[in-house]
This record gives sequence, C-alpha cells and structure tokens, in this order.
Amino acid sequence: MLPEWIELGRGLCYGGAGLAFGLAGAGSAWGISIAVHQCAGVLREKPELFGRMLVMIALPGTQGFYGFIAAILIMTQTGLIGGSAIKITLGTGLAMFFVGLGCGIAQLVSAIKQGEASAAGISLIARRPEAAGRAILFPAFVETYAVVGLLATVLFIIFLTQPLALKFLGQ
Amino acid sequence: MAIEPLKKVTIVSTKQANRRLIKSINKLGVMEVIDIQGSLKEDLPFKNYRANTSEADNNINKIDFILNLMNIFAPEQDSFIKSLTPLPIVTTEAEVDRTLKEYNLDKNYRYAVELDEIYRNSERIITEIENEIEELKPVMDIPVDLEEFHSTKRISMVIGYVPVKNLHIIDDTKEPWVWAAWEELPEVNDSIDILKQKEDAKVRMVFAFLKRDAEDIKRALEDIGFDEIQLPKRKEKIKERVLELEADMEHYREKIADVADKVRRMAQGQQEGEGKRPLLILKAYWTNIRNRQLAAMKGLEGRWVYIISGYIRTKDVGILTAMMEREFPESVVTVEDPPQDEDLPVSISVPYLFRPIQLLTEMFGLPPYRSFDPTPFMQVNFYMFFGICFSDVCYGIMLAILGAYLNAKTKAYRGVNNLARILLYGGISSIIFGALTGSWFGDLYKPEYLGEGNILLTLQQRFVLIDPMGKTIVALIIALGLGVLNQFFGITLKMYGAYQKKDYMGIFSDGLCWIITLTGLLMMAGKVFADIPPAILNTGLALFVAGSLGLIFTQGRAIKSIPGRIAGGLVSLYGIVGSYGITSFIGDTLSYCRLLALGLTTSIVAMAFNLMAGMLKDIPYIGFVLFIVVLAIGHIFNFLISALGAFVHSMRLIFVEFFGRFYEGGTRPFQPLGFDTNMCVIKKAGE
Repeated sequence: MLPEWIELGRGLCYGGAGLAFGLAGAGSAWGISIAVHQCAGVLREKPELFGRMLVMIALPGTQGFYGFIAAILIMTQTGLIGGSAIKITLGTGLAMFFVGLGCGIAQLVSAIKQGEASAAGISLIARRPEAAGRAILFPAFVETYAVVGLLATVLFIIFLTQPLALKFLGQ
Repeated sequence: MAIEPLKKVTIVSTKQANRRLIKSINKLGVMEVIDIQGSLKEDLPFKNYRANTSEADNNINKIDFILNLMNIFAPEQDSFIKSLTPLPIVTTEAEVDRTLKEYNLDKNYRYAVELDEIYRNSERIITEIENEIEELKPVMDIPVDLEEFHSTKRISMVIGYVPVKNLHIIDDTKEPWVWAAWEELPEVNDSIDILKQKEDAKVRMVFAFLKRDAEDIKRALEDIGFDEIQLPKRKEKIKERVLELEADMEHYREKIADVADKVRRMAQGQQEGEGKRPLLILKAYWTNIRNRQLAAMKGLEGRWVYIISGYIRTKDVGILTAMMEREFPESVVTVEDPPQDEDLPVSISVPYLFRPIQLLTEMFGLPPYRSFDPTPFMQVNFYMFFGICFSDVCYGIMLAILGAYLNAKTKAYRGVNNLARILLYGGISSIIFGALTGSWFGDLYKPEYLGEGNILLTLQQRFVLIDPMGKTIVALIIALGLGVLNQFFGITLKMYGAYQKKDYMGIFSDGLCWIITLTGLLMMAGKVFADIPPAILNTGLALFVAGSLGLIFTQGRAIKSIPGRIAGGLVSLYGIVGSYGITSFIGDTLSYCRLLALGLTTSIVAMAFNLMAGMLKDIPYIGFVLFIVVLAIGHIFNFLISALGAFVHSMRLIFVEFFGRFYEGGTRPFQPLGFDTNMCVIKKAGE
C-alpha cells in the first residue's frame, strides 16, 4: 500500500472526527438557544421558575458531548492520542469519515429538535409548574435517537479499528 | 405499600351543629368531602347548604395585597432547593393561634395601602414630570419669558422647524410672507447641527404675524412643511421651569425610596412574627377557612338535619367515629364500602425506605382505586438503571453525599425529601455499578495520572467485573438482557392486574401467551448470534408457534365475528393495534441499549477530562495545580450533566418501556379536608 494512501486514510479519519463534534456542537448550541429564548420569556413573568427551567435548557446540551465522545474515541482508537498509531487505509479512513458525518448529522438535527421540544416543555411548566417532571420527558424522547446514534458510532469506531476490520478494509 | 382502602362516610347531624361539625372534620384532616346532591333522589326536601366565604376572601385579598407590595421592594431570594420546588412553611397550631391574635392584619393592611398609595402617586407624578421635561427640551435654550410670548394682543407667534430645503420658498416680497416677520433660532444642541448637513435637515424658526393674517400664514407654513413646537402655557422662563421640575422629581424619588425602605423593614426576618411569615401563615389559615366553607356547601340541609358525605381511609375510620361520638353524640354516622361505579380518589402509602420512588408514580399519575400501586415494583429496576447510566464510583460517592446532605436539610418537606433520597440511593447504586464496570472518575486510576500502585488502581482492579469499553458487545447484550427481563416483569404485573380484576382470560391471553411467544422468539434469535443446539432451537420454535396461536385466537376477543377475531389477533401479534406486539417488544428492548450508551458517556467524558488534565501535569511549577483545577472543573461538569442524563433516561425507561406494559395512571389524589397545603403545614406532635 502506498504511504500516501495511508496518509489520506488518516486524514479522512480526523475529518470525520471533526465533523462529528463540529456538527454536534453546532446543534447543541442551536438547540439550547431555542430553549433559552422560550425560557427568557417565561422568566420575565415568573422568575421563581429558574431552577426548573435550567434543567430544560441543559437537555439539548448533551448532543455536543456525544459528538465530543465520538471525536475523542476516533483519536484514541486510531492512536492519535496516547497509543501507538495504527495503519489506516483509505477504506478505513472513508468509513470513519462517514461514521463521523452520520453521527454529526444525527446529533445536529436531534439537538435542534430537542431544543424545540424543550421549549414546548418550558411553556408547559410556565402554565403548570407542577408538571415539570412530565415536561422533562418530552425532550428525552427526542434524545433517544441521539443516544442510539452515539451507540452506533461507538460500536463502529471500536470495530473498525479491530485487526479483522483493518485487514478487511485493505491493510 | 399499596393503595389504601377507602370507606364512604355519611354523617347526618342536627342543622344547628353544621358549622361545628365541619370545623371538627377539618381539624381532624382525614376526610375528603364530596358533593352528594346527585346521589340523592330528586324529590327529597333537601337543598345545598349556603355558606359565606366573603370574610375569608376579603382577608386573603388583604394579605395578598401586602405580600405583593413586599414582593415589589423585597423580592424573595430563593435558595436553590426552593427554586426547584416550593417548600411549605412548617408551623404549629400554637403559632397559628398566636399569629391570629397578635398580628394586626387590618392595621398592616391600612399601612400597606398608605405606602402603596404614596408609591403609586409618586410614580404617576414622576411620569408626568418626565413627560413635561421631554416636552420642554426642544425650547429649553430659548431665553424668552413665556409670559411675554403668550400675552401679545394682536400678534401671534409660532416656533417650529422648517426643512432647510424649503427655506428658499420663504420670500419676503411675495404674499403672504410680506405680512410676517421671522427669525432663525440657532440651536445650542449639537445634534441638530448634524441634522443640518443631511438632506432632510431642519432649522428652528420663529414666525410673527398679525392675528388677522393667521389663517393665511399658517396655510403657507403648512405648505413649506413647518413643524410647530407646542409651547406650554406657563408664565416662567423655560429653563427655570425645568429646574423646578427636576427638583420636584428628586423629591418624589426620595418618597419612593422611603416607601421602599419601610416595606423592606416590614418584610425583614424569618422568625415567628417577622417579615412575611405571619402573612403566609394567616393566608394558609384563611384559605383553610375558605375551603371549610366550600366543603360545607357540598353538604345538604333539610328543615332539621344537615347531611355531609365523603371518603375516608379505612385506617382513619376509628378516629372519625371516636370524635363524632365525643363531640356530636346526637348525630348518625354511616360507614360503608364505596359503591363499585363511583369515581374514587386514590391515596397510596409506602414504607419510609421505598417512599422516594412514589415521586415517580405521582408524576406519572396515580393508579385507579381498584388496581394496584406500582411503586414497590420499580424500586430495584429504577435504581439499577440509574446506577448503570451513571456508573462511576467517585461520582456515586459525590451524589450519595449530596443526597444525604439534602435529605438531612429537607426532612420536613416530603416532596423534596423524596428527591433527595432518590439521589442518595441512586448514588449508592452508581457506586456498585461503577465498581463493577471499573470506572473511578473515568480512568483516573491509571498510573500515568496518579502514579504506580495508587489506591484507586488497587480498588479498581479488585472490584472490576467487565469493562464496557473493552467488551462492548457483551455489555450491550447485558443491557438488552436487562431490558428483556424488565419487560417480562411488566407482563407479569399485567397478569397480576388481571388477576385482581378476576379477568382470567386476560391472564392467559395478555400475559401467559406473550411470555411463551417471546421466550420462544428469544430462543430462536440466539441462532443469529451463535451456534445453539438444535434442541433449543426446536423448543423455541414450538413455544413461539404455541404462544402465537394462543395470541391469534384470543387477542381479538372483543370482536364478535370469528374471522374478524382471528384477523384482530394476527394484527395484534404484529403490534399495530393494542398496547403490545412483537414489534413493540423489539423496539422496547432495543431502547434499553441507552443503559450502555449513557454508562459509556459518563466514563468517556471523564476520561477526556483526565486526558486534558494529564497533558498539563508535566508543565514545570504550575503543572500540578493546573492538573487539579482542570480535573475539578471537568469532573464537576461531567457529574452534573451525566446525573441529569441518567435520571431522565431511567425515568423514561420506567415510564415508557415499563409502565407501557401494564400501568394506567391519572386518578385524582385523595385530598382530605384539612389545614395542610403545599403552602403551609402544621407540625404534628412527635415530628
């Protein structure tokens, strides 16, 4: 295998890592800002609800971390951080790139939509503060798909860097 | 640990005793009063009792007025716990009596009204002054005495702005301008100069003309876009007037500050008789009186008797009848089992240790009276899910300490105390699962962070059973396995519910058949992952076929025609109609993979922070300090966000995947007529 191909593969790997946390972080920021807008409106009238609102605002923030986990895992599993660097073929690199991209898209969209669900929950809490417990559940339904996306990403990253998969993808 | 049995009580007393009766029932706080109008025959000569709530309403309004005023100037500084959930005031009967006697509500109300009036008047006047100053601003620099300006007999004068581009129209040789005189009034104000340079710049001018020409001149002025400044009808010089107004405004501001000071002094203090406390207690007192009157109105009165009815917990029947015999020996008390068709409220009682989870049951909605309380059945699984999602020994210890601290601080408040104890038990569970998965602040035990042979490493190696990062698939299968177990547990509970209702067909069809079918399905599914002995595969197939046939023939039992029944059964087996089906089983089971994902999240984020801190450690001199700082900030952050995620997702697994199998909530809670509310509670003897 040509050395350039290995370099290209590795580059694609880290491109995927960048997309994973970049898209996820952008989504979380977006989602939180949707929730915060709603929250600010409510707090103007009912400042005493701040504690309960805080939780609703924090919920769309987890996607950013899921993206972060994916990126860190790509770096540790390929040996960029704290290990011996493994040979990455173009095949593995491409696979990693799209795994990162897929993860990023799942996190991006779910974070925005979770922000909207949080905003809906916030307006419910504003009218019926005792329903806070139930309102937390709305965004949790959306987050399911972020969690599943992360799990698939983690499995992919771990298995793509096993010797068997590396061989299968042209090492 | 169950739904508490209720009895229906009907009390017939003399008409004279009705107020005393309601008062005694209220004091006892064990009976929920219901409206009995509908349950009596129509032709009986009874009518609803009419009570008057105006005194209570009046007092509540007064209290609210004072509290609102206090909230304007001395808003409540809520503690963090209080901002999460409102904490009631804990008081004693003696304090209520003393407050009622000693706190002069009328006097305080009058004082508050007086202060409020001063405050509102001052605010209004300040607004007026501000408006006037705003009006005078454009002409403030005119040195003319306004009296001179207004007092001319034959001449009119107007001041205003003329657009610079129209200045050329004003020609002193043409009519009507020949009849007028004018002069530019240069502005001292800089901003106007800037305006002059722009296209729509304006200059300030004064025009003088004879009153008889006013009409023509004004029309001409209108044509050139003259914008008149309305001068106030005042006699002084404008500048003096503005100074005077500013002095006035300062005076009213001081007045408001004085009111604020007085109100703040009123609102100060947390002890008995100080600040808002007596007001809140009185509010609770009068709200109680009002509720009492409203309850009295639910009773019926005839010519001689007064009838009231309601529900009472069976365990409290003795207290009520004893009180009735002692205080109302002439009345008749009937205690009976509540009728089958009545919509009964529900009260659940759970032993102290199991009580925290009641919070979740209450959140989802209470069970119907004639079913069972799910609280005891989610003790193990909820804490286990939480522990797995949060799995880290050190975070668990932190959470347990936090929970124990909150528990000690909030003993008197049941709702918050439950939450505090969920945190405590959840923390303990996280310690257990953290040790089993070998996570101690993530991988802080590694020699590169804390050196060889450190205590965390020793402990980690001693307890670790499976590393989910290394054996992800095994961990995933364990998570899904827990999901399958939890679903089977849910189906078993559904069978229990059917048994309670004596619905034996339900036990067979909605319970047993599903368990057989799904067990068979799981045995066959093993084939996909590993080579299993054909005996197991065949048994699985047999179970699956038998169970499915049972489901196909019984699931559609509500449908009358036989082909329809079978079609209904088939669809239900697949999972389109009904609350369950093979597709929902698969979906729900897969949903438990979040246990693994969240557990991994906690430890991977912790590892990432360790990694970052570890990179700083080698910097000379300050490296170690930075290492500690980054670790502290990173781990506190991860602790908070992971705890939130673990709580929300375990709750979801309980509410959706577990409750979905057997539970229907949404019954109204049992609310006995009494003093205690979420605003104020009376401390009982011995608490």
